[in-house]
Amino acid sequence: MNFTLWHRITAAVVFLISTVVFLLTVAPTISFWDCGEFITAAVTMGVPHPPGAPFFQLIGRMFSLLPFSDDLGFRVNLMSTFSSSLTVLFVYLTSIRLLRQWKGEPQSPMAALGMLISAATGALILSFSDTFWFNASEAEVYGIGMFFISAVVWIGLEWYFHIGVFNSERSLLLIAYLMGLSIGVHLLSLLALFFVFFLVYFRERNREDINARTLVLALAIMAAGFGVIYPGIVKYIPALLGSTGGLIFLFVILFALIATVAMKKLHPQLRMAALAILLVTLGYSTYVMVPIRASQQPALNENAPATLEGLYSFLNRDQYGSYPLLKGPNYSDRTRSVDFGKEVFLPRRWSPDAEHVQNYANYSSDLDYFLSYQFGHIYLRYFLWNFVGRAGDLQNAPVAFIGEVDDWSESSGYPNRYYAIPLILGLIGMYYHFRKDYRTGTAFAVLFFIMGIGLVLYFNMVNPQVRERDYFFVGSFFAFAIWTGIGVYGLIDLLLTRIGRNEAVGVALAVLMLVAGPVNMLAQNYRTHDRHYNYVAFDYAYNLLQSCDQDAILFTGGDNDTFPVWYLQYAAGIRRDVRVVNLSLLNTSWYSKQLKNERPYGAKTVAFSYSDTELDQMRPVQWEPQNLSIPVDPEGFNLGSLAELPYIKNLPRLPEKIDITVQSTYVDPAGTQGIRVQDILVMDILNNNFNTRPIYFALSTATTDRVSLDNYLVVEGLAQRVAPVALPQRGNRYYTNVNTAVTQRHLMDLRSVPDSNRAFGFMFRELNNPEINLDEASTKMIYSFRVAHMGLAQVMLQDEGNIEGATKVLAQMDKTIPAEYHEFDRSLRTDLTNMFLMLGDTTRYRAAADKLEADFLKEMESDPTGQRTGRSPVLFLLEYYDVTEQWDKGIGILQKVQQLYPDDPMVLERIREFQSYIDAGKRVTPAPDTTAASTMPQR
Amino acid sequence: MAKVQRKRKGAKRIIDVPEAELPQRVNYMILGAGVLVVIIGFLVMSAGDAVSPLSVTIAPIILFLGFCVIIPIGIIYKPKKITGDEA
Repeated sequence: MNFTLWHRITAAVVFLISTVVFLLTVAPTISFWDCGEFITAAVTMGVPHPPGAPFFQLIGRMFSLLPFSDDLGFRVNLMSTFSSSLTVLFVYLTSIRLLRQWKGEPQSPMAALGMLISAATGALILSFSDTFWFNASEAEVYGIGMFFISAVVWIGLEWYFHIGVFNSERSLLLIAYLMGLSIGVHLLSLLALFFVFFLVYFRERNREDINARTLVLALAIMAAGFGVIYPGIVKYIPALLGSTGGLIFLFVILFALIATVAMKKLHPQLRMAALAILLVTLGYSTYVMVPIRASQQPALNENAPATLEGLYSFLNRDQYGSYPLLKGPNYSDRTRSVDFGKEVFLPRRWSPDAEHVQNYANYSSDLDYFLSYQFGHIYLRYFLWNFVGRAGDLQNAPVAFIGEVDDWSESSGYPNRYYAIPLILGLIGMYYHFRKDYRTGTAFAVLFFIMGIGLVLYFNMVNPQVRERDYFFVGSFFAFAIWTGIGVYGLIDLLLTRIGRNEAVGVALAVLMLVAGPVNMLAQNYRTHDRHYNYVAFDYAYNLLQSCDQDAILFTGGDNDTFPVWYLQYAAGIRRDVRVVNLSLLNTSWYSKQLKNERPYGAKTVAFSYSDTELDQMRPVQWEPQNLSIPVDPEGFNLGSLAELPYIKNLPRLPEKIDITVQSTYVDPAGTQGIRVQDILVMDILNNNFNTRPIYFALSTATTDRVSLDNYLVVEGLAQRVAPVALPQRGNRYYTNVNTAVTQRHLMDLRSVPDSNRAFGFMFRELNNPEINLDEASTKMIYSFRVAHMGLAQVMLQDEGNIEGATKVLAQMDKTIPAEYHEFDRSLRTDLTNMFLMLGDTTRYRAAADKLEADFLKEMESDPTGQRTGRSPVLFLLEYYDVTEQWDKGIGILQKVQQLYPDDPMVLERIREFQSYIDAGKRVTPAPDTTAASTMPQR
Repeated sequence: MAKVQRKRKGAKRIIDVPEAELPQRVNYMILGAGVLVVIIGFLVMSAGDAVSPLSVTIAPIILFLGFCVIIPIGIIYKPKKITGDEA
């Protein structure tokens, strides 16, 4: 039989299966977090956040030119899809190489089948594993980063075993070049070099030559070799380019390297090494793009690294500060704070941030923190998510094995269970690998540990993290996945040596493992990894932009309300008139200067009263709560959408100024209060632009980021506009000021195609599709979509007495975002339930309240007055029992309250009242005023 | 780097780097052409501005050809007459 042919067919099938599954589940447009930014950077050749990803952008740009789909985000997503299925292919090829090497060419069809299915099983386990699949369906750097790692592993192994085209020293040169290119994607991929270094060491040395002495020597050479690339080439070339001396030094080195390569008399290996260094540098040279583009001032130009100093600081990630690794100050259990007076070795609890310090107190020692949080909660939990099972997609979701994980799996589709089969296969594979060939086994173990525990040590993560970080460790999961395939073959081998040569049994076992492993993983994970209906990031950004009037200034808070908006404006050409101001970037002067001086795609500049130099020198300042007056031009004020607000319509004349009391926004460790640069600049932007341009805050911004403007804010869609007059306040979560005319037009008349210009009508695509599945960040946006509807309904009801309109809005909400497909947060559900009562819709009220009763009864035990949740179970239950005429149960509740407040006259009064209803069998007196408004907690 | 480890006396070498294994003149010519294309790509990119097709479309295509096609070929291409070990 022709094994090679069958092997090639299997490889093609494995590649095709992954490709098809990834194509079926890939996101149709941008996703949250960095994807929007990376896609924008690729499409517009902009400059993303440090340290940049120029090679990623280059490939992404090529994908964005492909003529599939109108959505550029989708096109760039295909880069991850394609590079991920190539990675799966390399896993298959790597596994087959190892098995063929140990077992030789299979002689019978059955033996061949066993081997092929084993390798395919490992490859498909990686393909359908949680983290890897997630990365494959969005435009992040980790898909293509894994492509580099897997390619280097496979090429390295072919070279190690002297196989085919790669049985040449040129393979090592190719690896050097690939590693150089990979720097332009993500530095993590460079760690694959250690795998190659170990292969070189083992191939170079004879069996008897491998001992502690040669190993130590090799390790030293490896460390030096890695050091040449990082930090050597990566950090020092840009640093040296800045000075004449450095430039001359670099030229001398370059010349020396070229001369070394050119001199045929020199030892071939020396020439190879020089050439390898040159090729790494050549691959790394994609970074030349960064200063070129930065100097051309594209719309996306983070840190504007147009100068060499700027480039160095960009590459060095100076923006993010640094943290101690080997030595530094550490948390002290005695003082319960970080002790800056003393440096310790390997500090683990190093962060002085108040929230981190608070969490540090929960660990008995640095070792405990490392083992239970950094290793256990971060790495090990993610590892087990991939090979045992995952309980849910809410943050901190645990591993799902076989026990109950109900609290975590409320979100659709979870838990995903693999019954630890991939874990067991991987462990068997690891054992089998070392027994067959400890040398390549060591190389894989190095990869597995360095990209897992090695990174845990290096990142030195604080608690809490803003999101799950499993994607960092996918290289470690990749190495383990190879062992799962080896493990299947190991099982076959074991079985056959026990029961004799019955290869058909081996094939049956392999098929069984294929089904129990990857087929089950595909079935379990498909729904939770299927993103092809997920338009939430795009639609959220669209709705946010369209919430704004023409030429608005829009303040946004974080990554998820900014990166998608950048994509829409810069890459998709939507609402380029709106000037987005990200509040956290406003603390950096490159950003404020861009707002002041640059006009991306014709957008107006933001007026500041500071000069560029003043912006450069701006620092946080000490601050006591202070009054600030912002002048209003009563005649010329640009009212725009606010003209439709009844309160403003009825004003005879606008005031001359608005007055706010600006509170301090931070307290330093010494207790001094101050405000940040962003707060100073928000005030300055208000002062200089308020009369001429609409100014908005995204609803997602934090209250503390809005310089105490709350009395002047009116909700329009998903943003709040600053009004030129103080508005009446109600102090309730939704019952705030809403521009009902504008918001209604946005929410009631939806569209399915975006409009590039100012237009009404939001987009909520596919949210009412029963097949939809959302990731955690998208689910959070569903919450804000619902709040927009409920706020509108509440104001229509209470301010305008428009019961019919409010009912329609709530019906529209259920049509747009059906409760059956989207988890309804309990506190929102409670508010909605109360709203039904206000609308006089007792049928709906009962239906909704019935479902909440049990929850609130449970909460009665722990938190009867709602101290913790801000939502009183007592009030809710009394209302419910009164409306549903279950007064006896109501008395039961009141008696529990009585135990807490024995002599409260109100309680006694209610008990008497309920008792009288029971006696009469109905309400005898007009029901006391128990409108829902009074049951809604004030905040 | 590990690959520059010196041959120890008495140890049987596993790696031998015959001259044919190293890049040949033709490889250096292709590599040189690749470097030239990359330099042209960066020059074209510099010639444009923030949004011009030169910078955002044409230069990336040139760079892609240089980095992803010509240079890799320059590294792995083996002239026929020297390729003895390929099955």
